[in-house]
Amino acid sequence: MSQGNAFSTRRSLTRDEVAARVIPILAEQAGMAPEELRDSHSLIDDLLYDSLTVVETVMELEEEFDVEIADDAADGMRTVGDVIDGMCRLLEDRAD
Amino acid sequence: MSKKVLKTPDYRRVELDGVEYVILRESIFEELCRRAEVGLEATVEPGAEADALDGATLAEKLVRRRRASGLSQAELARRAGIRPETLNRIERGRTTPDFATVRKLVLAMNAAEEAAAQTSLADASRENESTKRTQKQE
Repeated sequence: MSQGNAFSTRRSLTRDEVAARVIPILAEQAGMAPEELRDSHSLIDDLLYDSLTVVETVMELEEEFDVEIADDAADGMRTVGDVIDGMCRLLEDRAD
Repeated sequence: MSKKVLKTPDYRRVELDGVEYVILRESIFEELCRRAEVGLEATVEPGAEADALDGATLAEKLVRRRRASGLSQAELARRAGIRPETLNRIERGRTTPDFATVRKLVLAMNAAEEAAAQTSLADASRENESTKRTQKQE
C-alpha cells in the first residue's frame, strides 16, 4: 500500500483527512484561525489551553470521531501534531 | 463658508464646510486623553497577566462552571468520585488537577446541567399544558 498504514482493509482516514477535522476544533477552542495552527504548536504554551480546555477539546474530538480517548492517551497529546497522530492511531485501531 | 456654533455646557460643536469639529477647554481635552490612556492600559493588562494566573483562572473557571451546574462543592466531589478536600484545593488554585480528574468533574457537571435543563423543559411544558387547559375552560 503506497500510503503506508494510512489505509487499512476497513478504510480508515488519512492523516490529512484527520487533520482537516481536528484542526478546526483545536483552533476554535484557542480562538485562532485554523490556518494559523502548526503541528509543532503546544496546546498549553501556544494555544494557551488550560486543563479544562484540554478536557473539553478531547470530549469534542471523541464526539467528532465517535471514539473513546483514554486518559493516558489524552495525557500524551501535547502538541497539535500529537493530537492528529493520536487520533490517527485510535481510528486505525478501530478499523482493524 | 457656512459657520455654525452650538453652545453646550462643556464643549462647542462647530461646523466648517460640512465637517463637524468639537472645541473643548484644553484641560478637558487633556483629561480625556488621560482617561483614554488609562482605558488602553486596562484592556491590555488582563491578557498579559492571564499567563501567570493560569492556575487561578482554571480554578475560577471551574468554580463558575460548578455554580452554573447548580452543584455544591461537596455534591460535585461526590458525583465526580473525588475527595471533597481535593476539589476544595483545586478550586482554591492550590493544586493543578490532572486530566482524569478534570474529565470526571466536567462529566459530572454536564450531567447535572442536562438534568436541570430537562427538568425546566418538563416544567415549561407542564405550565404550557395548564395554560391551555385554563384557556379551554374560559
